Amino acid sequence: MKGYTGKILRIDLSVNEISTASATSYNENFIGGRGVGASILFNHVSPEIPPLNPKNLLIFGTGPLTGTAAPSSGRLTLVTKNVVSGGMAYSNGGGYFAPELKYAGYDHLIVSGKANNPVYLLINEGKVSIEDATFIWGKDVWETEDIIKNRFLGQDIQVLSIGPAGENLSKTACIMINKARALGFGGCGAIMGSKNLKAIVVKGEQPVEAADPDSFMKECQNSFKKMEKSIGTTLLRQGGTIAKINPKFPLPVRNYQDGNWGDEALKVKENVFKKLYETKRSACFNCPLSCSHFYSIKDGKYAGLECEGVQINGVRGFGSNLDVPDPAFILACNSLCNKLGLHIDEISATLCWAFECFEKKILTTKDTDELELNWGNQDAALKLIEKIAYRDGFGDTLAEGVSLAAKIVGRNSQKYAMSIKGTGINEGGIRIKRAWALGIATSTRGGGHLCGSPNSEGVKNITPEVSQERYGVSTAGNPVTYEGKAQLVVWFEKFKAVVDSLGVCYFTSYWQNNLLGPDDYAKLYSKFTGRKINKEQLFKIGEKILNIEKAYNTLSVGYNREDDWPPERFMNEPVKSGPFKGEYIDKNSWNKLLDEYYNLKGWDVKSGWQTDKCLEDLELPEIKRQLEKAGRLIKKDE
Amino acid sequence: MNKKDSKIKKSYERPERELLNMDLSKCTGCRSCEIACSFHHHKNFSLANSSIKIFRDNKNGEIEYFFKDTCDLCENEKIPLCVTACSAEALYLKK
Repeated sequence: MKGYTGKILRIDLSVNEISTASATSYNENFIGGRGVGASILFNHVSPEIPPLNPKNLLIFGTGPLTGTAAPSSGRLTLVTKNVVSGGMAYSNGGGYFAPELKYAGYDHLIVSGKANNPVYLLINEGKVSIEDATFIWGKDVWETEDIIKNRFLGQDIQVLSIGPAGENLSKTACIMINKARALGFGGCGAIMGSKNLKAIVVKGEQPVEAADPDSFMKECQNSFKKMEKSIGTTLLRQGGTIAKINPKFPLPVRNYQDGNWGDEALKVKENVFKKLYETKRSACFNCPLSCSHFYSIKDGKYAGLECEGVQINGVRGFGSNLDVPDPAFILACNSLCNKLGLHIDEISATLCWAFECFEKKILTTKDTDELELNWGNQDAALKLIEKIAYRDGFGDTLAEGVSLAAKIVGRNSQKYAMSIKGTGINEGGIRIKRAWALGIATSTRGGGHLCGSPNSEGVKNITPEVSQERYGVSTAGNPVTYEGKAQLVVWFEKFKAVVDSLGVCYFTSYWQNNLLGPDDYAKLYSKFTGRKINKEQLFKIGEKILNIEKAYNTLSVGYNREDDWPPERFMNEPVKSGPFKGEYIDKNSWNKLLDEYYNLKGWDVKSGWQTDKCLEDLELPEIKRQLEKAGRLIKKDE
Repeated sequence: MNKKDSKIKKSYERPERELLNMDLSKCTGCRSCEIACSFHHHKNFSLANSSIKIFRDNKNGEIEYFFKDTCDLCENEKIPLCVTACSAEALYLKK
């Protein structure tokens, strides 16, 4: 098939071995990126293997559209065994690294083993080598990129690296691309650290070619034109995902004690960032959206800070949920996490839990190394972030992530740990938007909205007619109803799995208000690879990917129906103020929603596990065999 | 292409005196121009095959750019493909 390099680069750090393997059958069956990664993980990392064991794999993947003229084609997916949930993790990041990997001649890169000393991987001028990294070990992400770029001065190399957090095996660590783009989930930075792998440096020279170049180029131009007309594009250009913030927009406050921040939100709106700090727009590879921005702080406490952009999870995580309506503080936290290589969502969940435990006197200054964790204490929050990266004092406990940290502390603190399947969550609107909440709770990577959550609930132009035509249910724009929401999640999780596997950004899609739909991606894929595919076929592959991920979680941890519930707080404590005052998740309705979701998936309603029928229909015999062997496959007529 | 390459230019002059220029404050660093350029020359996608080159400082977004001698301003096109591809409207032709 055209469009692929057809090669997997394999690195075994334990024995310094570099080899290649064919990617063809994986690409044919699972498209690329996330799909191929999930399949490789299932085949090669046994569920018993602990995530920080050298036998765990870091599976980096591009997609067929990566590095092409398709919009926003710079995405890289990482699949690995998840340190936080114990199941699988996929993470998808932007920047410029993924296209270079493809131009270097590889669709996928698998790293296994553990080096004796710190190393970095160099892929340049057609050669691959494992190089000594003692000169960058201990450096933060930004310093690491600067030092490496200086070493390869003038060459157009791209750098992916971990910071001190990954080196110190903090389970909140992520992997950073180009200083400000993250592969965030699953504690993947700690996995890279456990392998003594500090960075991957890549430069490629080989072109990628479409099966039908002119027709593909025309399709790309059509996609760009379609995007230009979309309201989603206008908003993202204005202020990225922050552009949607307003006093009515649901934001979590003080570790989700409330779900509405009211007028405080006005202090961290996109126009405030723009007026005070924004210097210019920033885009990932071949992206017309430029949802990110550069900022420079000239005055005040954080004067001198220059950094790339904050998205809505930063504003939620360090603004509303820590109750600090200060854009400079949000930028300071965001960039500190980027420098130290920390996953913003897990860090935010952990900090918010610690601050609430301090408020409730579960934690005192004796636990916190004398830090006063009072809401609004900016210095304490920043100090804690640093302590987590270096596993210093109380930071050593917090570096386990919110769920484990709460278990270690005990004293009834678990009820304030906002996590799902061990994964800290940094979300808004869980009590209000039903499909959003269901997508977060059933996510195959632990918890979080970037699996099945639609972004349409509460969006005015998703009318019942538009909703019906696209998703087969009329309620996609209506937040509080439970009706049709299971089907909506089933639609979006397949869609997301496909988009992640194609190697393009989810922000180019229906997910961000009216952009590209499955038919558009099917056309791009068909014209680029020469393999004709339609929406239904793409969605079937998406469903296969989700079922592999689900099975891996079932085999590794045994997650079942009970684990698909959000934390109790969202059911027992309604929103206290604002336009959605009084909203909460009704337990009976949630139960029915789960029933509906499992039925649509063909899974067993009682346990939430997969059935033989479902896996036969999807033609996944090996997945079925493994689940059956483990006693975790449900026979349809049981 | 290497930054130190001796054949780089800051702008390229077309016979009819048009100049291809860039408003650096608008460039987002997305490299769409490089991809379009590669397609123009070779009908494929490669940053190495492009006649325009973008370097972005990932700390503050500052851009450096260069043209290679191979730039023909897309002689068979009405407007050079890099200009058409630039969503940020940073690249422009000036008489």
